[in-house]
Order: sequence, then C-alpha cells, then structure tokens
Amino acid sequence: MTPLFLAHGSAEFWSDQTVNGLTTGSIYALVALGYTMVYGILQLINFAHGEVFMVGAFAGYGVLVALGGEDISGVMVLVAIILALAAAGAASAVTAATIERVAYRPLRNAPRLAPLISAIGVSIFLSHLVDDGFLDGKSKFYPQIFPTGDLSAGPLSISYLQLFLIGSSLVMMAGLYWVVQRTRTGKAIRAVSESRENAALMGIDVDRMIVATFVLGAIMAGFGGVLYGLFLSSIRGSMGFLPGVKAFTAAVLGGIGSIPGAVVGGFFLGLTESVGRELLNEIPGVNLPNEWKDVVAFALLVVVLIFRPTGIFRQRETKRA
Amino acid sequence: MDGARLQTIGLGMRFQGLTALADIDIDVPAGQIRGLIGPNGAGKTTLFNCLTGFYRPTSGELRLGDMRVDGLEPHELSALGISRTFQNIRLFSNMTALENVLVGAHTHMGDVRATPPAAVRPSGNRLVDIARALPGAPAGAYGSVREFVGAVARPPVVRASERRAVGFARDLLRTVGLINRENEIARNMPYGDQRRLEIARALATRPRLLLLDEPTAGMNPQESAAVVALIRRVRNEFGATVILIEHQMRVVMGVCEQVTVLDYGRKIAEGTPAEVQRDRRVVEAYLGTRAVGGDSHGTA
Repeated sequence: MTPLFLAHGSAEFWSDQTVNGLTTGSIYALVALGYTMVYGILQLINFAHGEVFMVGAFAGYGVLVALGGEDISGVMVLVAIILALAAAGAASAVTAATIERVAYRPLRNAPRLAPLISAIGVSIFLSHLVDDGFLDGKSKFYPQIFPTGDLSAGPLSISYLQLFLIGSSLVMMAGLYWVVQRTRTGKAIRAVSESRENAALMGIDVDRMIVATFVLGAIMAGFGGVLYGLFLSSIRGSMGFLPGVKAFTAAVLGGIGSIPGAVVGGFFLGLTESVGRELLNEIPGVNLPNEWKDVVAFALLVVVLIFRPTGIFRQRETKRA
Repeated sequence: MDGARLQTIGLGMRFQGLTALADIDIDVPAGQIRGLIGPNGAGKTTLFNCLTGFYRPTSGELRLGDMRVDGLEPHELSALGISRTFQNIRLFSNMTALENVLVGAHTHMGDVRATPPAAVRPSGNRLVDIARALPGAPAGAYGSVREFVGAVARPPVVRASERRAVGFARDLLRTVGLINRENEIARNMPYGDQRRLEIARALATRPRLLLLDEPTAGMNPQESAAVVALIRRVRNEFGATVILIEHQMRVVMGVCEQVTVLDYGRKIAEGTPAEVQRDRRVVEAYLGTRAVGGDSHGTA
C-alpha cells in the first residue's frame, strides 16, 4: 500500500515503493515468459500474447462470479482463487493454441514480417471482440474477496494481497522452470528451440512442441491475468495492451529468448517504474508523479537497447526458450 | 533391435533446373555396412537428406524394410528407425551430453516407439475415438495432451520409462567412451568428443538404419581408427544397417562391406571396396579422364 502521507524519503516510503515494484514486476514477469519462450522457438514476437492474458483474466472473473462473487468468504476464498487460476490457465492455453493454429502455422514459411502482422491483427481482433462485442465498452470488476490487511516488520510493510501475488507468481515461475528443465516435454522444447531440423531427426514432432510452447507461455499469462484482476480490480478487453507491451519490454530487457532473463527483466521493470522513478525524483528540480511510470519504463528500454542490445542475459548463452 | 533393408528405386531429386540425383537404385541388405563415396557435389549428402525426409524426392521410391517411406516427415522417419549424423556436427549445443542423448531416447521409449504414422490405433476410449474422427480435429491433440500431462504429473509408468531412458542414454555414452563427461555442456567439449556424442545421440533413437556423414572428418589417424572400431561395434551390438559417407579411403576399406559410388548425381559403380577401387569409371571420376586414358601416364 502506498499511503500518500508517507514522508518522501522515509524508510517506509522506500519499502512501499519496493513492494509495489515487485508486485507489478511479478505480473510483468509472468506475461514476459510467454513472449520469450515463443520468441526462443519461432523468433516470432507474439503480439497477441497480451490478449491471451486478457482472456485468462476474464475466465478467472467468470469463475469467481459463478462461485458467488463478493459473497465468497472464509476458506472458500482460497478454493475460488485456485479454481479461477486453473480456469484462466486453461482458457488462455486454448486461446493461444487456437491462435497458433489459425494465425501463425499457415505462415510458418512466409517472410518473418507476415506472422508479425498476423499477430497484431489477432491482438486487435480479440481486444475489440471482447470490448465491443461482449461488453459494450464497459469494464468488469473483480470481486474484492481477498482478505485485507498488512504484514509489518519495522519499516517494512506488505499487504496480504501483494504477498500472495509475489509469492504465487514465484511458485508458478519455478514450476515452469522445472517443466522446461526437467521434463521430457521441456527437453523436447529446448531441443526444438536450438534446432528444428535436428529435433525432428530425433523423432520430435516439431509442430506439437511449438504448440506446447505457446500453451506453457499462455498458462503463465492466464495466471498473470487473474493476479492482475485481483490487484487492480477493473478488467476490459483492451486491458492486455499495456501490460503486454510492458512484458515484451521486460523480455527484451532480460534478453529475449531467455527464461531467467524474462523473470529478471519483469521484476527489474516493475522496480524501475516505482523505485527508479522515485530515485529520479530525488534529483532537485525533477518531479515525476506516478503517471510518468510508463515514460520512465520505455526510456529505460531505449537506454538498455542502446548500450546492451542483447539484454541483461546474453542471447548466445541463454537461448534456451 | 534389428537392422532394416533399405532400397531406393529410381530415386531422383531435382531443384528447379538442377538435377542433384537421378535414377538412383541402391539396395542395402539389413545389417550391412555400406560406404557411399564420390567426389564433392556428387549428391551424397543430398541422398542422406532424402532418406531422412529433409528433402522430398521428386521421383522414385524409398523403401525401409517392407514399407514405402518416401514423402514422410523427418520425425516420422525417425520413429521408423532412420537416424543420422552430420558432416558439420549439429548437437544441441546448450545441453549437456546426457541431455543430448536423452532427447533422442525419450521419444523412442515405450509406447511412442515406431507407431506407423499412417495407422491410428484405437485408443480404447470411445469418446476419444469420436472426438478424433470429428472433422477438423487437430491430429494428435489427444496424444499431445496425454504426453504433456504424463511429462508433468509423472505417474509411475512415466517415471519408469524415464528411468529406462536415462539408463539407456548412459549405456550409449559408455559405448562411445563419454560416460565421464555426461554433465558437460556439448559446446564446451573437444571436437572428437562432439563427434562421438553425435553418434551416441543418433543411436539413442534406436535406429534400424544409421546414416553417418563423414564421421571421421577432421580426425587424425588414431581418432579415425577409434571411430571405425566404434562403427563396427555399433553394427555388431545394435544390429543396425549403416550407410557411411566417407572420404578417407583407409576408413572405407577398413569397415565397409560394399561401396556405392556416386558422381554428378548418378550411381557409377557398386561392389566390394577392392572392386570399386579398380573400377575405371571411379578412377576417372576422382582423377579425371586423362589419368585413365593412358596417353601420358599410363595409370590404371
């Protein structure tokens, strides 16, 4: 929480900014994973990934409303959120697999610009379909069922919701890492992202692994969508755009194609928007209110790309989708 | 596992105007070690690319055992037991030695092994069969979900099959003498070891036909001799049919039972190494016509 009366520069103030940065950063990181994995395997920037995230948010919303909305309480809150996450992961996975089949696979051997344009088309189509087709331009609001309250220790303070967001996203990312590093599907995905030809020779069905990559990234994005809804409450068809671009930025910052890079990039971007911006405010004569966070974030992207075009993690060493 | 007979019948490969292979008839009996030689550009690697499904032959037939296999995808041919190595090593360079071999082994453990691609086995579940038969049902979606759920949830069946895969992969690393380097990242390994690792990885798919593209390229005589011994062991222990592209005559003479010679995309000779070495057209192909014509040097 960021109470406005906190003195700028106090320990509480910086601790709050850090927690806020980590919270948004965890959502960026979850979404960034899908960008980086798909890039790693297809060298395609899946611009429709923000909409996959949006679909997840709505699926989770549907489950929470069906289970009683604001009336959910007690232990049912936990059950409802787990069900919402599961539904979101599934809905996002189906959406991403369908997009891959319909919009990308037919263009597999086309010039690289073609699937990129196709991706942008899918992105616009989905966000408008939901906004104008189903919602008539209105927003939906996530039931506020998460227990409120803070956990404090000295100057450190974190709300239960923020703790849940950061903690659960770390667990999900660890799970993804385990899948990619340890399971045979993960090995096959890494093999395909190193060399499609070679993987096919080993008997791997390349198309199937490409779908698996989309699905894994989409599950993370779906989870991210629910966490976003729980945290910011309001969801819309176009909600995926800005977090999508931010997550893409995070993936580039970390070194696109690299899974650890996406996670580090996500948290780094989140912290830049809060702590980084406030650090700039320490400079006399500078005053960047919260609305400037996007400006700071994208300025950072430009600077990083100038000085370190391959991102924080170098591509060659970490290209392992 | 047993070797499979390979036949090409009138096989041809054209790229726009260029004929890379024409009318190739080759018949390699199961379990034979066959050499494939010819000057640069003769079409040897093109033939390998046709056999592994990277190229779709523009004419003729390809038969593995009793089955016609031309037109299949690389992963389907792999499932049927065709495996290869490359002239320029192509490992998964960011993976460990063990992981490289496992990638091959995993896809060929247990029930995934060698399902003839055309045949769809009934799943035993009527709903699944109905869903599969629906128009537009993504082929293999059921298999994908089952594979993925299995890989993540790891029921005992999957665990057991994974354990077997690791055991098998270690056996292969032992066979090629790399058991002590299983956790090394492939790109950090010395050149000779990378070659041997590539052979181990090719064996992991349990090939009935193993295609080796210049396995001794860039090796000194001792290393070459070790690879020759390895190839012989592979055939004797695994029973695979082996086709070997090779430039070092010492290797060809040492290990091949029969040799096929290509030149300009055509088969110009075939026979035992000794026969082929004496063949006039072969000498011409390698050394030029003058060397054989006898007008100045009198060679033969």
